[in-house]
Amino acid sequence: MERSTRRQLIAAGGLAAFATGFSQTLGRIGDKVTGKDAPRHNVWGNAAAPEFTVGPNGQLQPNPAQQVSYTACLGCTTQCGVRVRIDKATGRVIRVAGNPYSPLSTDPHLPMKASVRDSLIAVSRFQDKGQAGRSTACGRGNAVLSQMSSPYRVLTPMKRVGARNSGQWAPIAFAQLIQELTDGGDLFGEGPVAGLKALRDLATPIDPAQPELGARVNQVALLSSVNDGREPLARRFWNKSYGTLNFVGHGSYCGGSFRSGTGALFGDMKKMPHAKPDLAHSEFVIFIGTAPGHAGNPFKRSAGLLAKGRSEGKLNYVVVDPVLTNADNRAAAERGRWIPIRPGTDSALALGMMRWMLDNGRINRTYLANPNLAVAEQLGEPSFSSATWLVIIEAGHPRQGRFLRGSDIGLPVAEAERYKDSDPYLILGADGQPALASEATGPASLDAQTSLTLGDKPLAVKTAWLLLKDSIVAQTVAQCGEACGIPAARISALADEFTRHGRKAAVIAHGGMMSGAGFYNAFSVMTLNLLIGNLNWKGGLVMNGGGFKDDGEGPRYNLESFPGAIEPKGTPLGRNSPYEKTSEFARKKASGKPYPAQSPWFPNAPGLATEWFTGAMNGYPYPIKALILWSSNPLYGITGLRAQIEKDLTDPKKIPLIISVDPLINESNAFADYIVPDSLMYESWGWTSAWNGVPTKASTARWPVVEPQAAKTPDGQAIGMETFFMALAKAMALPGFGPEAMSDAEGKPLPLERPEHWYLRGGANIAWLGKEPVPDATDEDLALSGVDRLRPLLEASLKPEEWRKVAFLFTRGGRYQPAREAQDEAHPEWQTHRFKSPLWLWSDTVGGSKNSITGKRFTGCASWQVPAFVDGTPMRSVYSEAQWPLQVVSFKSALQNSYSIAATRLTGIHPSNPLLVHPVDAAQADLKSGDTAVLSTPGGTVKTTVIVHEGVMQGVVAIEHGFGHRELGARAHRIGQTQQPDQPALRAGINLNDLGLADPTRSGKSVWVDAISGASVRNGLPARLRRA
Amino acid sequence: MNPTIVETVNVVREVAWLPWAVQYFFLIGLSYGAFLVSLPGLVWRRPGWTGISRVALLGALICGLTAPVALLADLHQPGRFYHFYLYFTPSSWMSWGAFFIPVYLGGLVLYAWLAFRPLLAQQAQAADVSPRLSRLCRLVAYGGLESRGALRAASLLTFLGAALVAIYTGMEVMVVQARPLWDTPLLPVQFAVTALGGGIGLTLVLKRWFSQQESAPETQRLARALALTQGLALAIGAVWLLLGLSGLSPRHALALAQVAPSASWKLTAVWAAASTALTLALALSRPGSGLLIGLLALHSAWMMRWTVFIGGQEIPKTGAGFYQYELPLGYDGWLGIVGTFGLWIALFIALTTLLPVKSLTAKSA
Repeated sequence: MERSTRRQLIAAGGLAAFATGFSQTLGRIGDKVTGKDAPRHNVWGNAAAPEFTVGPNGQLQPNPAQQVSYTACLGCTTQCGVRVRIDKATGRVIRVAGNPYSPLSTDPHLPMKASVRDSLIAVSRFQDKGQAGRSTACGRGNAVLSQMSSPYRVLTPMKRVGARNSGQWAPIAFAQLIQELTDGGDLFGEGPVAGLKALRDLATPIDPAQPELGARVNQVALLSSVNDGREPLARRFWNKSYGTLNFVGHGSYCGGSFRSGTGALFGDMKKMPHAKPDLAHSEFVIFIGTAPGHAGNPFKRSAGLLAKGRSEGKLNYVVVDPVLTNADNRAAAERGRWIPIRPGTDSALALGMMRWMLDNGRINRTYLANPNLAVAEQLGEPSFSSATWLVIIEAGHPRQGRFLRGSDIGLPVAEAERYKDSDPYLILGADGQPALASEATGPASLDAQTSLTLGDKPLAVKTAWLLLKDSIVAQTVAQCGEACGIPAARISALADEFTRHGRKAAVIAHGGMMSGAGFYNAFSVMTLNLLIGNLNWKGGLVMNGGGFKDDGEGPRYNLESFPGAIEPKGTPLGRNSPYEKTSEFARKKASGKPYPAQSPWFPNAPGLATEWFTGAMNGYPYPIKALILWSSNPLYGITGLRAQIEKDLTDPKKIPLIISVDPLINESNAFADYIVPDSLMYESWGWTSAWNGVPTKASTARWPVVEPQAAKTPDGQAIGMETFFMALAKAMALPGFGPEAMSDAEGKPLPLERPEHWYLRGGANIAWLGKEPVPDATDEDLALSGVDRLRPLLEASLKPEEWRKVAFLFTRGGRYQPAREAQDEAHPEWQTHRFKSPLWLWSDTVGGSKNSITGKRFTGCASWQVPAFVDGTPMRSVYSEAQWPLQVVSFKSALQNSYSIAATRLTGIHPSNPLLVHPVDAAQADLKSGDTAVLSTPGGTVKTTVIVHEGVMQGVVAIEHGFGHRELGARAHRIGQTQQPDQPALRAGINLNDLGLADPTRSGKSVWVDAISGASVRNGLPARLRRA
Repeated sequence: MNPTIVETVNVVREVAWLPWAVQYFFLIGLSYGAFLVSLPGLVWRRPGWTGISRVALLGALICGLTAPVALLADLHQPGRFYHFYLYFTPSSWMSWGAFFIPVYLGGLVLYAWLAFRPLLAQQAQAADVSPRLSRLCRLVAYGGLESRGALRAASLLTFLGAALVAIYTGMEVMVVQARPLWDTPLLPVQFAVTALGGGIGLTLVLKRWFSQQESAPETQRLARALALTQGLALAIGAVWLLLGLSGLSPRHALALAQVAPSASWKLTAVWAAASTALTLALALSRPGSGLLIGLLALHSAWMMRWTVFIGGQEIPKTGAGFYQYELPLGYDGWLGIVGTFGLWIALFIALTTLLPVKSLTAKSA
């Protein structure tokens, strides 16, 4: 080839390569020229157009294509008040931010009187208002939005095809659903199934030999999850209209032990009031088994207050937990510290601190000596305790462990009032004789101890304080350190620091208490607060402001009582009642051996979902005929339950009818016979109050800011919990629902046939509570907040003078007490919402009750107890360290909740939950980060990836909760002809609850629960780890 | 405490400075480096440098014309490049650079034209040239006069442009505080020194291409200059390391701390130091091995830029560990690199067709 030709060829080749290599660049230039790459807007680019703009002079310009509404998020149980942006054309929620009126999203929150226009300007750049007290929603709140348009949503009623849990469903009409569930019949070709109508037997006892169990209607049981503002309506139907006793939530497998511990301290083991540190004003807070900001509601508010306190304020804090959490980080520097602790040994830490405080005179005896609120207030204390009250300690006395009452010493008390609230408590007077605590005019003796003579019999009594003191001196600080793995010097230093801030210090706990010593750990930890007397103090432990009550006998409407209402009676399925009142006890006592009960009873616990399923399968106290799962997922959430009952659940003979009301298919309702769709997130109605940690009153309005997506009933309402239950009520002609089922404050009957009848009238009650009714919403408020959508419903369901006031609540997303009212006007250092009943160093009900298995009396105060099974057998004496050298704990995910796995924006940044292993333990198992390992407990085995790091206590392996799903998208179901998409990524990771233990000391099916609170044990499961 | 950070939540950030940027910095560096080599023979008329300088100028011109095209491609929205000129932003080095590049390139083209005019005229007269090419050469030569004054003035303008380009290319990377590895005062100096080394290397390779054999004195002259740059590069590297190790400069210490624990970064550092030392040793001990040391110098200049840009972006701004970058096959990867090289080749052939290659490398005009 000629030279020049060759050069031309090479040059051509070069140019061709150039043309190819730069063709994309050329294309992009072309896009520019043709305008294709032009962003949709010169300022906000291709992002969604802003919902409104605010001009330089503060003039608001709404975007007519979008709706802005204030409502509540349901991305977690905090239920923050949020601001939702909706694209009007598609009806899709675009984004979520904070509601500036809500203290859960803004600090400080706007006063209610600010117009909606002002509230929108308040979150804008105008004068940088939006930067002050930024009103935000969190990342999860925005990510879980995608659930609303998830391909896994249940949108029509459906009925299983084939066996239970086969993943095949047939959509059915609403009318067919109601008819089949009401009347029953041969619904699945497996034989007759009793319908709800037949099961509503209010007369026939479950067992004539055990009349205390109640009527057969109790064999219909409903498990809900958390009160999302709709629970009162559901309870009205199941408890008062249908008549079953069995309706419980998820508390016993959430933070039940903590709640029981605080319940003992606050003297109510059923409602379990609790308090939270006043993070806005505290100087020192100890978080034990809870990660501020992502565990223990309210997450977002706590995180904001914590960050503010440590950066601008005086707040220092310590997080005591087997796992290092996000709360201790580089931003926190020296103001936040992490102290690792052995799982389930928190009472050792608490008692060690108490011992140091006792030895060093740091217990606030002056506070403890106040016998009643009047004396306390006189001496400048906003709360008081029962520390000086006398407790019966006479061995063998039937009331041993109970407080001495007026009726015990012969004071005149009506028989019906005996041992009730009006039966007086007693202190030891200066004359050595019992005196009424309520009548005392000054401090009482803390160290009183005497033996009274009553009817010739001696009766030894001493103060509650002395009982606690006995418990404190039973061990040294060194022994406590040995037990919990924290050096004694560190425990002492912690106690020293804790008692150096007057009342501006607090201890708080939560989910970390779910161990085999859960109740005593929580009670002991929370008792520390009492010993410095911090309750109701600014900067100390503060009560929740609570909410405005929608569902009572309110100022406008009666949402409580109705003609024909049933008061359910009987023994709760979870056996949270005294064994000593059962026929079994009477029978066994007669035969001379009252203990043990067949299975444990939990007189000091609230309703227990943990005991429901194994109990029902064991037939103890009784089997159940129908189970309703409303947005609940016990098989995923109750530690160790799946292995116990999975097989039985597939057998329709064990529980003949399982109905679920849920927008999604989860691990539990996959076993259902019927699934009824429910509203999701922003489609729902409801009135929620702040869970805790907000010192002012707060009620958040949930309302359908977008049209619910579920199929419609024949009369055009979206199918959901409300319309489903109302249709069942109508089909069975139950009281409490129907054309004249509710009434206004004057008793005039009104219809309760549509969801808005309930929620709007509940709203009217809220609007009229407080010092004065709220103002009327203006037309502008209605237009700017999207509430004009509701106007026809408001006008139809409410009275003319009411509807604008209720609309006012929806335009603001709820009703919120002003932030400045958090502290008492007359006493600026006291909280406005005070707990005014006594705090209990000694729990009357715990100290006065016995273990139903052993018949041994429980200790009634803080005490060091090792994790044990229900009969008191220490866990380690069954599962030795030699066999099971490790302990597994779970911890709250900063991102995932238990139902958010399909929100791919979360898995995009954190796809799985590898097991956290300490380097020393990893070295022993020859594991490094990224390796696959097999983790076993006596209850199960899982294969997992490991991450090796020092953010976990040696001897402990930790599992982040929220992964290891089998449903919620992890399995593709077939609904009619539609196959759901298969997304293997949703099966990522492991679930600690698959490793849960049965209680080896119990017969029949069981899961390991705390002996007093009946709460799941998920922290401190014995385990071993090996390379896969 | 185990210093290893375990990352439980993170997002992998894609590289924003693509291989195109490496191409640009490489080519523009070679261009101004080679331009400097063109000065002794063409402007200062140092004896024995004329051939070297002409070849260098040719290299500077080809690289200089190719570089902005790669830069354009690195702009993620290349169609908007003119925004640089519509919206001047004095606080941005990149914005200044948009003005420096035309100064440099304008000067370079003018300077090259003035320098090559006589050769173009000569090519127009040559017997083995086609009539069409002859006409073209005559046209471009525009009389073919040699004007020393204009040449000097043009070289001065180009020098100014080259200095500005060297400064801005160094500074626009150095100012990125979020990347400690970039945010070191020595980085612009390192860019400049390796650019000069690369320019010399390019001259050596081109010279060998044109003359098929090493011309001993000229090669040795270049080798000495190359040795100087390599020695300087090693010295700067040592100062960098010293500043980092001693903690005298917190910025260097931070940069060192980011890469020091990584085995692959250690390998990269050893590789860079060893290849520079090898180039230095060969340039001193066997100054006649022009092609080899020229290629080595080109390799060092390219590798330095690749490591700084792509390697630098493998260090997360937030987060632990390192990202893994894999060069893709497509436009933003191999295809882009091949395309840039294709343009370079095409320009090379076009220019060497216009210019008489034999006279280009002749020892004197």
